[in-house]
Amino acid sequence: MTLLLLLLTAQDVDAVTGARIITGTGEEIENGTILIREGRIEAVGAGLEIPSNARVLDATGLVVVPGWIEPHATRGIDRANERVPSVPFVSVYDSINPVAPVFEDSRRQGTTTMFVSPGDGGMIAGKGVIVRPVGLTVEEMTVVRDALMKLSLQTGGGQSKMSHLAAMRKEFDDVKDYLEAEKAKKPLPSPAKRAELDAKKQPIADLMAGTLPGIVSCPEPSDVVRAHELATQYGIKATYVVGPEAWRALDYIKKHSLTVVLDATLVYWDTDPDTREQVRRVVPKAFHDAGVPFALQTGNGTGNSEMWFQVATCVKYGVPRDVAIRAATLHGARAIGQEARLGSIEKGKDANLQILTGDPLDVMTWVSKVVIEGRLVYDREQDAKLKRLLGESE
Amino acid sequence: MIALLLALQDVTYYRVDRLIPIAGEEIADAWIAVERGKIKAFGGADTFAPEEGAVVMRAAVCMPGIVDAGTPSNAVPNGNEESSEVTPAVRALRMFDPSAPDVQRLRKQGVTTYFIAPGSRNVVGGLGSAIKLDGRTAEAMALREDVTLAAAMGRDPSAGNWAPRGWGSPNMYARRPTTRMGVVYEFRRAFLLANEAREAPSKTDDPGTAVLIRALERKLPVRVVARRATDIETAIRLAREFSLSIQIEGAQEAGEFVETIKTQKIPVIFHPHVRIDRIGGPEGTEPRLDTFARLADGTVPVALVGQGVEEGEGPLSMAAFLARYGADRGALLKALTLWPAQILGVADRVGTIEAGRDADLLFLSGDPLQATTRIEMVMINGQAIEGKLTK
Repeated sequence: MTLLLLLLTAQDVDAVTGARIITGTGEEIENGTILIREGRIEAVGAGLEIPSNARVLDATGLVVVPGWIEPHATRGIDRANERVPSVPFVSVYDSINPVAPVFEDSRRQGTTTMFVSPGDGGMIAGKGVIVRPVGLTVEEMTVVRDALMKLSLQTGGGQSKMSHLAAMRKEFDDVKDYLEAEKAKKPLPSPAKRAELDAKKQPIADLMAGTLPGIVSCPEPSDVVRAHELATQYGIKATYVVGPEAWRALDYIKKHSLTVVLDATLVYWDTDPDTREQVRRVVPKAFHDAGVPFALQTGNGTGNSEMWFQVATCVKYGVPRDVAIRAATLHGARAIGQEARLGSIEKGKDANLQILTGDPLDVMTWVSKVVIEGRLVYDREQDAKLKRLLGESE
Repeated sequence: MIALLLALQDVTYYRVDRLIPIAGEEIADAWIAVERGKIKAFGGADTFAPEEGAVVMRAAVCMPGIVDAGTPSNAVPNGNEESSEVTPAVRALRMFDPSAPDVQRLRKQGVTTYFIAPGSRNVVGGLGSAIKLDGRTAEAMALREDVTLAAAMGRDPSAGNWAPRGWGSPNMYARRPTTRMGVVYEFRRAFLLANEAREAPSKTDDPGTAVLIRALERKLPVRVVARRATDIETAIRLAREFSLSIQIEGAQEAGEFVETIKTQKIPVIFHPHVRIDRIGGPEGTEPRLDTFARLADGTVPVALVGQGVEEGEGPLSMAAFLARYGADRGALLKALTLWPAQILGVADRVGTIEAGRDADLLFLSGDPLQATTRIEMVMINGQAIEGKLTK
């Protein structure tokens, strides 16, 4: 707790000045100023008055964008999943490795928030943690502990979806039956008494009460339907992490206004079975054309491991620029339940900013500085690893 | 009159915001004329004078089609004839399947000339050929056959093999080199025997020997896959021993041999590492991101190769990342076109926009080295193969 307070009071940037500000709401401000107080954005605009004792980050000639948000990061932990499929009581809080390279790399790329999640290889896979990718301890990094429960419809080990889903339903039914039995016996337990529910039942009870949101991996298009039906049946407030073919379920997704995170593979090849013609499927464009909002994530391939590239790919294939930027910021925040606090440069939100040498979609642009909650956490001038890689340190 | 009309039909004009000829300066507000599969002429707007009634199409940017001189393992099938570790006479073109999905995928990435070669599993793998990615048969698509002899140093020909044990007869995994020194032994043995055969030719010499002799006579370059610094050093040393003309493929750690490569004029087929966050390549080569920039100052041709057919893996994406890491724009564009054409010996046909060259062209929505640029149309031999433009 003490360490956390130190972080909060370690704000060292009070104002960012002179920049082109892409607020992430569709508005861009030329020669703008951002005022920061207690780690939050106090004001955004052009021609703002700056307090005389303000520590100013001069961003003249630079571009400020909300820090990217990674809504589904399964790295930075020792192993993606437990071998046991249903482990609602585990949390990545216990397995995050603060010195894993992914956190430093995320800062370098302008990411300021990550939802670190158990992998897709479980069923009820445990709780994920929203972190800022900076800090020497998990506590320092943690923004929201046990923020969402990871669920997955990915089958493995020779299992079919029939038994996978039956097993999931059984987990929920067991707890539902238990709660109903308890309710029948006596009045519903008060919050204080909820601690009496065992560790395995409590998270599932919270899922079904809607107090713990879920984030569900749906590798196939039909998984989206199944997952939504499951969520509806058990009262789960869910975000859907979909596979590349999810565009085939767009009608359903749109009808039910599902909150969606796209797979890291945004573009893939399909073979027409009749003509053998290679067809390029562009997932974000399909979603945009259908009027369905989406969030982006990065992956483990060449190119798609960097969020700016994911945004550029969307724009390449016709997604409007501000929609693509929102997909990497505000929609990611929404996917993890943090849109009130994160994802755009607006008064009241956390001062999480990336300061760029140019337009975010230009390949020649680099992240110059990153600010998280008003604290400078990355400076390209001090990035020894990058300098070495680029041969700049000779 | 009819002949004149027919002649008019043969010429198509393209008006572009920017023309990148490679062989000269980029031209803003330009035009290019294509006639019967060849580039007829091009120039700035002030010289634009199309015949009356001529077809004029529009595009943002035009550049030569990409010449991809690489052999990435997950693209068009790269075979390894594993019946022996030294197979100089096999021709990869014979097993090329024009209907393979990757042919279209490469084309849609803007690749118009490609290189089909054996893989790097053999110490000496066989003969590679340059092809155009338009046609129904390997024969129709071949641009130049027997361009180079494939060879490999390092892990590819040795890892995964093990020494024969016990009484069983050696099988194809249990007799091949298991170490780098074994690889060098096989290479030297093959060329030493070929040298002997050269001095005392015999009717029973196998076709492979004839190929090796051509390499010894410097009539056939040897293209050596070498990624790590030690392997690059070994390749250069072996080339000196046998007076071979070599090209180095892979070259991820060539940063240590930049001077030698330039002095000895060794062409490089560069497989770039572009991820900042991890060690790259099949041999975990050192992830320096500035190696291309240091190699590609124009002294030797350096071909930049795509790393796959998925989004973000193609040659243009590789060039965009390397531009980000500080490589010169002109060098990158040459590394996609002219230099690989020179390395493949087909620069008289493709790789630049010049009158008389094949009309293998890309029409793009913007700057080729930006991640937001789309390929609008791919033309091979004057035919629009992928996509289309509007008038």
